Amino acid sequence: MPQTIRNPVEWLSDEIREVAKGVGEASRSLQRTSTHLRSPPLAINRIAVSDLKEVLVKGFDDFGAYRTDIIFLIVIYPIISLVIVTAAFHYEMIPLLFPLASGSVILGPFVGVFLYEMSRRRELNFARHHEDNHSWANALSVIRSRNFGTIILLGLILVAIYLVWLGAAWWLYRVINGPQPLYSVSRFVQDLFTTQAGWWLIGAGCALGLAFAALTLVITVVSFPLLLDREVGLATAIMTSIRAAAANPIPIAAWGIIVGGGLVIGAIPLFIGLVIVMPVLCHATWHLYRKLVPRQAPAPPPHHHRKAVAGALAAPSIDTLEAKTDEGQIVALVLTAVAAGSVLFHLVSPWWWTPIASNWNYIDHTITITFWITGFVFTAIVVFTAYCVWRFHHRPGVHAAYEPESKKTELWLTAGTTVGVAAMLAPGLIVWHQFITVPETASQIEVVGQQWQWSFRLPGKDGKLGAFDAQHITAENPLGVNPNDPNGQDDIVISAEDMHLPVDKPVKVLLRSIDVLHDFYVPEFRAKMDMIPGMVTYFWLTPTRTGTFEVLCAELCGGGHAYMRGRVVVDQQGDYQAWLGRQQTFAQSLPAQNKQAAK
Amino acid sequence: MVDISREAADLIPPAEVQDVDLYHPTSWWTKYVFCQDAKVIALQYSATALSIGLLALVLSWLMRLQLGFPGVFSFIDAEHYYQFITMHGMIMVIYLITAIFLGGFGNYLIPLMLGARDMVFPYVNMLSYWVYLLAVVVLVTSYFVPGGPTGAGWTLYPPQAILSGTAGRDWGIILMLVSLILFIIGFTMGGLNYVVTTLQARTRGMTLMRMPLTVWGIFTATVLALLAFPALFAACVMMLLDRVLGTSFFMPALVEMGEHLSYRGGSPILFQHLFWFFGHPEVYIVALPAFGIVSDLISTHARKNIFGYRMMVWAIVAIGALSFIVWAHHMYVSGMHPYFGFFFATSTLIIAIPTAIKVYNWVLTLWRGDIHLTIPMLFALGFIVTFVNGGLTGLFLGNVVVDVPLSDTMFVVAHFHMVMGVAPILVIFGAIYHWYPKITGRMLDEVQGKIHFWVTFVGAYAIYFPMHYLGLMGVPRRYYELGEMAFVPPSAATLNQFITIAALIVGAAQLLFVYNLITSVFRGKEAGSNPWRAASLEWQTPETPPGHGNWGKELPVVHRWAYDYSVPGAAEDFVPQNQPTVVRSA
Repeated sequence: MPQTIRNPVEWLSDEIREVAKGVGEASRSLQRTSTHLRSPPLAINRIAVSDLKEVLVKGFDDFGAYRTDIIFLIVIYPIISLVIVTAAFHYEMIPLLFPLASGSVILGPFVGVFLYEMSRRRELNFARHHEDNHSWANALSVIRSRNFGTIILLGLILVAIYLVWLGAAWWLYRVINGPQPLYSVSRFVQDLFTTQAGWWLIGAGCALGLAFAALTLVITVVSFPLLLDREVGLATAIMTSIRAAAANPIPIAAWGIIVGGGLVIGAIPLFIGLVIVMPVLCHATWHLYRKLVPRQAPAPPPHHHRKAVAGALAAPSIDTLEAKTDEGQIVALVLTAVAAGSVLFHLVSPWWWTPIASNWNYIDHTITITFWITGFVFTAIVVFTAYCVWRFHHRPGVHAAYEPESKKTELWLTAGTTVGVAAMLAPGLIVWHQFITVPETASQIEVVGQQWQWSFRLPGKDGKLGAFDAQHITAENPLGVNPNDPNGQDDIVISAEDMHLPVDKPVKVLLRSIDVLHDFYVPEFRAKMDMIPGMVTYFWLTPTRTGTFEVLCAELCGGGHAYMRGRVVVDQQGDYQAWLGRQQTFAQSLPAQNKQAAK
Repeated sequence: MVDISREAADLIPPAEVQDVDLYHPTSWWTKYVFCQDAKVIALQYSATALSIGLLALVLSWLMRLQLGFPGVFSFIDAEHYYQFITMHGMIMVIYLITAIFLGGFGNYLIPLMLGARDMVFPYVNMLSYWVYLLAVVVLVTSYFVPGGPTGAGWTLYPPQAILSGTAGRDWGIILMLVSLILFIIGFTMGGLNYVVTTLQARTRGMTLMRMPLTVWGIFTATVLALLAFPALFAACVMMLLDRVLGTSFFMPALVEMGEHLSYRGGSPILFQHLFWFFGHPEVYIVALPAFGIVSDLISTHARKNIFGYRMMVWAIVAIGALSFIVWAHHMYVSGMHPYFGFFFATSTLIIAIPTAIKVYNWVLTLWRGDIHLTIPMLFALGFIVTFVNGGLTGLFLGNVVVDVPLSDTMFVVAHFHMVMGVAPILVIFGAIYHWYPKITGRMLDEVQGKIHFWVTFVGAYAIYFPMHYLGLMGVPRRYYELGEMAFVPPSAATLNQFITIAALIVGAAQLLFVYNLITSVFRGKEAGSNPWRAASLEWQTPETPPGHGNWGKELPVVHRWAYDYSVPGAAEDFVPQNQPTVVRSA
């Protein structure tokens, strides 16, 4: 009999509905524990705050047993934090520094999985009266867990929460402070603590952070250990966690405070304390789970759960949880590593755009939006592919589903994609409109390219550039300015020298070439445009900071292309006027006989 | 998916012919050299394309050596470097990928997948290959003329392409243009064949909506090519006239190195429009066959029907149609009228939607499949990752204002290599591993294949992913050497060295592939007629490798689509297209 086929979107929505239903059921079942409409959810113990003490003691105990080896593993966590901190500096996104560092706690329960596994192995060996080798290698048996994929999936949910938190923090900062550029850390810290907006930011940020922390605590306090311990699905794990928190609101809240307080204390001595606090908390989490979920509870009958259809196997004992790593898992891991490596590279690589020196930070913003959207899509698709490979890798006797199409899914995916595309296109087109709309107040300059050097021309006192034509080009008149045009007489021609621009004044850059295609490109300005013989092209910009910037040619123009360099100097108004005063006009630069010919 | 009842099928008379009607070749020359059998022509096309591709691979090594270790290799000067990039780009895009997808896979697969005996115009088909070979020979000749090949960049933008500041101005550019003109002539002969064969020579029961997506991809790409190449043809002829006779189609009045030239009134931008009117569909000429083939690889090796077949077909057609109205997104900073930006950015981002649908349908095909991690499947997975990555960076470059800082930087280089270099080539590899058993009767070596895949996939990703960030930083493309650039930190040189080393390793892995390709003809494991247990028609031939005429005396009759995998209740997990009814399991 063919099974009904469901695609992931439908499956996901069903899962969500299932969780919601589960939560409702859970609250009902807490009142009437004897009657269950459907599968009995896992039983939950009520615990007292005083139990937390025992939990912590056991955590210390595990830590003591494993400690020499553990430190090695745990060092990774602080390193990641420090890496993230570096990234924040590098990005010049100082406001995100604190959200980045504090938010990494959201990922803690995921990283801690290795330690839960160590505690589980220790407990298991005690139960069997085995000698325990207390080796950190125990941590690696996580990979062999049948639930490994689900654990990764839950981990990815945490990553998503982390990213949402970063987005929310950034949004909050922008709402409260507006889009002003930042100059330094000290300036930021000063603003933070001395202005009203700064205090608002601290207050609202902490409240928001608390909400995220609470969410993470509630969905992970039991779920990760449960996934290691038993063959349950993701929905059951999260649902059980939520129910455990609902049944024990005060102890769980107290646990949250212990975790948060411990981490703060550990972080104060430059994160070094985390080397102790983190493992103890992780081990203790395992024992907290043991307190919250009784050991002998029957596993949920799988046929009551939709996810059983999607693949969870029948409830096995602890001993059968370890399956041989097969090729599917390796391929899935590599694919996941490619996605994770890409994201990590994006975050920590020192190669990023050069600091902007023009008004076109709108372009940078559009790029940032595009990075977020495309980064999300890329990660989602690759991780989904990896999950499919891991989950549906060939097993003897298992057949593929028969699923020709699903109009609903395709419609939803198409609609979602359209929205994403529109979200990138709309700001892009708005900024493009600004890019091609030159302000009335803009002054004009002309840039001329030829193999392989740059020349510039300013309109002079009359504000008008003289006409030009290729036929006027001579050794004395390299730009071909029409010597008979009165507008051109006071033009200022700058050959093979630096061009100067005044800061904060919009300027329309007219571009032309006298031989082949060139492209006027200053990376700090973000703008570029081809230069074409026989045509005049343009763009405009407002330089926003002083300095000397390199001009490159960005359109292949022959053998000397890479050597066609020039410089633009952005000056304060006074310096600019002084420089301008030193320049010769076109009329002055022409030899005497030409001037007479012109008359 | 069966719409002919068993009884009705029995009433159809068999399409039988006598051997004498098939005009089998009689001599060695007509069997192996001047052969009119599409399968032999396909192999000739593929062998030529792969050989010239090896030259392009070596050129890419030389380029990377210069970029990674500037100044170390003194035999590479600026002119050589620009000749390398020009020839590498042109060979890879036109003479390798286009030729192997359409001339190679098109010739081999279209008749077999459609149940035809051959292409409909075998003689013209043969001519197509020999003209292509002539084009390749003319191209290679440019290495042996004074001044060497052209260094104008593969886009050949005038005026510099035909002026003396550029390498190969004397002979190289002329030979390049002639070679392109020949290629287009040769392709047109082949292309007409592919289109007419697809429309006219399908066997009974093979409706258009039962064709494998491979055929849909190659067919649509061929239609695009037939419409797009004429623009390049015209551009090449005009530029040739500009260069040889001194006409001024693309040449305005200009002064070169202080000397007034006699050109007047031409437009360099006109060339760019013609070039990209061909050039953008060209991207999809390369991509659509890859889309089609990878769909079939995924479906076969995941033992599951392709998800959303009809949507996949319409997406291919929609992409093909849209690809003709997006060309100017290559020209956002060319100086064309700025208002074009609004239109072309919008059309470009719209094309992302059908493309995204294809990606979704590939991964949804994996979902709840029975995934066999064979080498073709690994390459298909590699394709998904690299194509999604390259496709998404396309959303940066297609969005006009975002393109302004990024265009002409290494970001563009990384983007197009990922999306139309690495991704389609991974599909070519996957396809060769997939169909090699049908072509030779033997399997390619699996261990070598796995090494080849992992080194190529991970290595190519390591080359191109970090390269985007060089471009983001502002490093321009087509720079012989970066030299001193204030905004580029010294660490960028380290990254360039890393990329070069990765490129050398990935290139070396391709030599392993060539070795595998050659030795497996003799030493490979016997494959049998249908080693992948595939449902499409080419695996149901009476002989492996298929003989001349493909089907023996009687043509197959098609009863279903090409994707009946894991049909509920069926005894086998695939039902061949020519099987009238599903055999139920006991």
